[in-house]
Amino acid sequence: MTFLLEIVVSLLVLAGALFLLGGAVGILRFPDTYCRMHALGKGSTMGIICFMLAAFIYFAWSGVGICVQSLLALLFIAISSPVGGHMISKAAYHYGIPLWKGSVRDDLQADCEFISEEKADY
Amino acid sequence: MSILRTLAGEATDNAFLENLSVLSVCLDIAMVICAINFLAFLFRVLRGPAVADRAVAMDSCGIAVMALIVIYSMRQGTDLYMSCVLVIAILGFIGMVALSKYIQSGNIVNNTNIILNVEEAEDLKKEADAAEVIQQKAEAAIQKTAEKNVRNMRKQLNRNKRNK
Amino acid sequence: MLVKVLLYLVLALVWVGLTGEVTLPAFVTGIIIGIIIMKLYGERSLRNLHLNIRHFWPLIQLFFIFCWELLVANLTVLVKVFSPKLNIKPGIIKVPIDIEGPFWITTLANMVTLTPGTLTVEVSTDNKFLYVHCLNIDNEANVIASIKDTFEKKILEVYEP
Repeated sequence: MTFLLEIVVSLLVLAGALFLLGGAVGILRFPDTYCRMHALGKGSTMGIICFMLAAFIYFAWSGVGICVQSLLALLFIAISSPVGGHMISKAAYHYGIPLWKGSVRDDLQADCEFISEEKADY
Repeated sequence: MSILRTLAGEATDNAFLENLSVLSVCLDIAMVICAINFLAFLFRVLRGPAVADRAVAMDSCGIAVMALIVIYSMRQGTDLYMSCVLVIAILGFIGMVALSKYIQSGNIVNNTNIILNVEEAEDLKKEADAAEVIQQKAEAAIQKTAEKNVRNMRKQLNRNKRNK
Repeated sequence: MLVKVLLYLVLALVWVGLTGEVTLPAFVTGIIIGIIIMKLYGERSLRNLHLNIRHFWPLIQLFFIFCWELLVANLTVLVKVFSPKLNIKPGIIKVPIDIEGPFWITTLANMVTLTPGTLTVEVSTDNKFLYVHCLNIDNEANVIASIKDTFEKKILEVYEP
């Protein structure tokens, strides 16, 4: 039983570190600003979720108590990290950062002038 | 295992963790990998040719720091550091939001899209100046016609008085 | 009415999580503080949200789809990042959507960001179109069909306008 829990926590910790490593290599390797945001929204989020789960199981198992703050941080990061990536990519497009040279299609350029903060309907 | 601990300069007084060798090895490996990730994100912050690259990399730096704190708290055996992790997560998100609003508008509260093209700005300025000039001319013309009308009415009144 | 009770519960759980003690007095304190906060700030905003949840089972299904898509997306990104040749053809695609209300459109945008290979860049001002940046347009020329198929159907089941 203890061995099973030990394996689970070790696997979660290693998986979290590997997902974070994937995000780091992605940010270094991708040629374009918008491609690098894919790494943030998906890689880092998953990595930190694995770490929080590992911490929760470890603290519940070793007798320290139920650590609710890790669950709260997990929920908050899962919801807020993609929203942050979306906001930065929108700001980058309106700022004028161009797409990569090898990009195939750009549907947003035609409607770019009609989308501004003043006319938004929310 | 013990080499890494002596290099780190401190010993874990976690009696629970000494019996679990697999977990301690994995924690040390994960700490090294997270440190390498942090350096990679820092490289992107320094190098990134656009502002958005730096913003994304700074948020990822914060996430890597959170991972390091979680691993450290697991090694020490207390869960007091989780509050720090929560605070860093919240502040990181707020920083991202503020930075994106600043990139888009130059301002956080009153948001209009800024125009980065210099020629477009000059054209708009010329149009605004032309519009002002036209408006001034129109006001002057209106005032002239108003004075003319007043003079005509006075002449009419005088003629009527004389005719009576 | 049910949504209000759920919101008070969620606020109480957040209070319990922030202080760190999982005990009954902390829970009761959380409920009281939740009621105070909602009375001060929240009643008007609840009315504008138009949260009209009919079934709970699609909501739980949505949650599990969320988790599954997150996992698959990360594995895809890992494989793509560690391959020796980067053969990506990125681009921005315009996707029409049928959902109304800013809350559910935000949910859809979040899920699209967590799908492997897509990232929302913009929502048009009349809330009719979604602009999505894809990593690989050849393989995902049917990305519009997949987004509408998995996510929109589930959200339309939860919330019928």
